[in-house]
Amino acid sequence: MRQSLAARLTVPLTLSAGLIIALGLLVDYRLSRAGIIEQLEDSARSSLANARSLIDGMAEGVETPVRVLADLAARNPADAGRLELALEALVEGNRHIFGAALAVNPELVADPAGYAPFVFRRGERIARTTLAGGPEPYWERDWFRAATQAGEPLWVEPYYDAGGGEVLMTTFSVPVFDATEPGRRFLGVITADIALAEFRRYLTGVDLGEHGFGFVLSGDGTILGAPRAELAVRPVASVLEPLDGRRWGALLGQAADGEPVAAPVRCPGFEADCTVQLRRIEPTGWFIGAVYSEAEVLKPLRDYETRVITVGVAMLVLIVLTATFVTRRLVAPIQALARASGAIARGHLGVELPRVRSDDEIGQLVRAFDAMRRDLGDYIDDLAVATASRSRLEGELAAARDIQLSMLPQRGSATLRQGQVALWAAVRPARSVGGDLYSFHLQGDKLLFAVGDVSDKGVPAALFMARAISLIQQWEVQPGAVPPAIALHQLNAVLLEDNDNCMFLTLCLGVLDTRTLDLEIALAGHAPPLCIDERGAEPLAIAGGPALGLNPDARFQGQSMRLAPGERLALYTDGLDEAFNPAGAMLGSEALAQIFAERAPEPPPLAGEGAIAAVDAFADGTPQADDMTLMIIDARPRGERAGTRLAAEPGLAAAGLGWLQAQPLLAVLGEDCARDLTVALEELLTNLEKYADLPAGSEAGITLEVRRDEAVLTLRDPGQPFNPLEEARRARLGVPSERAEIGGLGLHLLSGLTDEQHYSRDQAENVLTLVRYRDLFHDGHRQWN
Amino acid sequence: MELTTSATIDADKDMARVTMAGALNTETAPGFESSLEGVIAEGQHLVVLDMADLDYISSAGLRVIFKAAKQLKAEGRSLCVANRQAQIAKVFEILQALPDMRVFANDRELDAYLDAMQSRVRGGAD
Repeated sequence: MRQSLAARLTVPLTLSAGLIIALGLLVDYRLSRAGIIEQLEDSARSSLANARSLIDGMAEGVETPVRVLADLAARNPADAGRLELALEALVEGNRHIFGAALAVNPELVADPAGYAPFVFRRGERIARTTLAGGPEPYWERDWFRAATQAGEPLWVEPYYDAGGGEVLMTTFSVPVFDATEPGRRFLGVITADIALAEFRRYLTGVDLGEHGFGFVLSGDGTILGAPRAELAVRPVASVLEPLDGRRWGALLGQAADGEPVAAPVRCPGFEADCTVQLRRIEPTGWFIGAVYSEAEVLKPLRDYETRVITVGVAMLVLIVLTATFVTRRLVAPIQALARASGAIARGHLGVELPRVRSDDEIGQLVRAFDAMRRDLGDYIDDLAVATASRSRLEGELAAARDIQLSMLPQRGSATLRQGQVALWAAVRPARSVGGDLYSFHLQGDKLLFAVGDVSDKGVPAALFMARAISLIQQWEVQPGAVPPAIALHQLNAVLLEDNDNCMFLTLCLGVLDTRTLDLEIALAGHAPPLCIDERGAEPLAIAGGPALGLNPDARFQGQSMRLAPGERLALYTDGLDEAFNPAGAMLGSEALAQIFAERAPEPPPLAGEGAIAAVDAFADGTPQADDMTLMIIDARPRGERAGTRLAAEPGLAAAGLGWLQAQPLLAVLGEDCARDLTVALEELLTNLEKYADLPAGSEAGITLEVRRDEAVLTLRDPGQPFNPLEEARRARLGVPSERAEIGGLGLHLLSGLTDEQHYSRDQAENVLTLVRYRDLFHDGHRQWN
Repeated sequence: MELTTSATIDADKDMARVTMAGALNTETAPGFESSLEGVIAEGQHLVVLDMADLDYISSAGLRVIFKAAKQLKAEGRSLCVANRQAQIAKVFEILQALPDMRVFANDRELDAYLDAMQSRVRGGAD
């Protein structure tokens, strides 16, 4: 399918706009993405840092007063009552502290259960109890033993405080050594507890996506706090499983050295890969950590991406719609114009054009197109008129050509046989009608002939030619016609009259005695005829006069000569020798003479047709510039003859055929030629016998004359004047059996088997002459009449 | 010039073959006409004129052939010619003789045609 203009506009517009939008969004996205990620990281980092510093603060808020208390105890070992009071104040004054204990070294106490007062929160109130006397001695507890062994303050691992606060907690233990006397006697341990629930408060503020959370680990990896309470006190390794094969011990060790640690882990509670980050909290030895799914954390980024794509697609759709709309609006008149021009090309000039009011290029185009259509309509109307008048003119010209040809003997292509003389003539106008003419007429034994050429071509020449040929034919038929020179003189005088246009005629006139071959010939501005024999072709040496119709004082000289048997005259007009070839070269009279010389052995019709064909071959497609007329007159050499006269009675046909077949001359001709002549004679004789109704006692004559190039069979009968060539019935040929005519075949056979057929009436006899060229020249069954 | 003819009837092939030798001209045409009429009267579907030895033909002879062809066609039968010599073919050509008449250049062509016809007839009878 061919691409419409609208598509060719819309597609690249949309594509380029789409590309620009996509590029813009991409750049914006690249820039914004970095910002968003940074922001997200900042927020996560700062919320963690915040939690960390809060926890730090909380630890410090617990540690500092406990250390102060421990210091106080160390310096006043005996003042246990005041220490208990201070313990109470510590719990009361620090909301982070769940409880605080003063556990005295059991070795310094008389009571075997030891002495360990414990102050703690119970709801809104402060409660007091003792840790001594529990199921497990307090000096066996972690918080006591670890601190004692370490000899310095420490946070113990979280535990459930059974028999104390009954909550999950972690404890800051400070060993107290007597500072009042040397030896640093171990006095006991002062502790403060933080309920693990406290940590949760700080961690719930950490925003790490839907599933991510912050957590606090103790030094050996127990979860001190997480937003979800059930995670508390569980080892972190049971909650978060590293995906890169590292162990938590290693991670914690790394974090304990102060490095921030990050590792991929399986997300707790949902199917995704998460990242865990870990940092040590100074100085407690705890770690604050965060676990989050990057996909979740980056959800705002994903949302942003979705938004960008949605906006981009929406913009693209809008652009496509807009581009299509605008293009359609722009292109619609052009498309309508294209359809209209298609309709106009098919001839529908009345087709409606698009209405365009604007004065832009399209408006101008439509208006110009409309004007063109109107002009085209006018032009076509004019053309129709012109064509009609032209075809009328052509019809008239065709009729004129017909009429002109009918002025020429045998309509422009003629043959004649009289005695020893054979004539062939043809005219070929360069246009429908022309100014060339030929004419001939037999007066008894005398053959009067003319070949002429009127100046100019076309209709004016044709009209002048019509006048000239009627004058020439008057001369030809006039009994006792004047000699050619005088005839030229008379013609000149008549053609001079009222010849305001100064048309003129070149003419060759001649009279040939067909018995004696005496020739009288005269020229008026015409090329002398060529005289051709076996030796070559030479123009006759004749002094000519000027062309007819111009000069009132013109003188014409006749020339008398006698043709020798075997000589041939070729009379031609300048259309032949002045033919041009595509290179612009003219044939010339010498080359034309050469052409005739080469064809000297051929019978006149073959030589004439051949010469014209040779001129055409020379012209090689160059349009014929001038009319061509050629007349060939042969003085045939006398051939070998045989003849007989047969009585006009039944059996005439058989007798005639018998005679012919007995002739040795026939045998000379060769099988084909002999048979064709026999069939032809049979046809003639059969007709004669059947239909001619010859008078009793009369005779029919048959002669056979054989020359080197032809055999001539002549049949003379004394019957009523009857030209079978013109008047006998001819059957229609080529029809299927049921419609075929049974008779009327003979004449077809006659003209098919022989090359020329002539009829004349001579001395009260019908004379039929059949010419059959010798097999060398007999090309199929050509006909020349 | 004489014309000799002989006719053979092939009832099996429903065909009459007339062999012609010599000249078919004005003189011999009437005799040929009557003998051909006799052959036609035998009633075979196909009448073949075998012209292998026919040397000469004129319009009088053609007339007889045209007439026979016309008659046979009217009866739904047909006339064909075989083995024409060149000069005979030339005369047929000049007269554009009967475009519907079958012409066989030799006996082989004729036999092939007859075989084809026969198998068609048999096929039709089955």
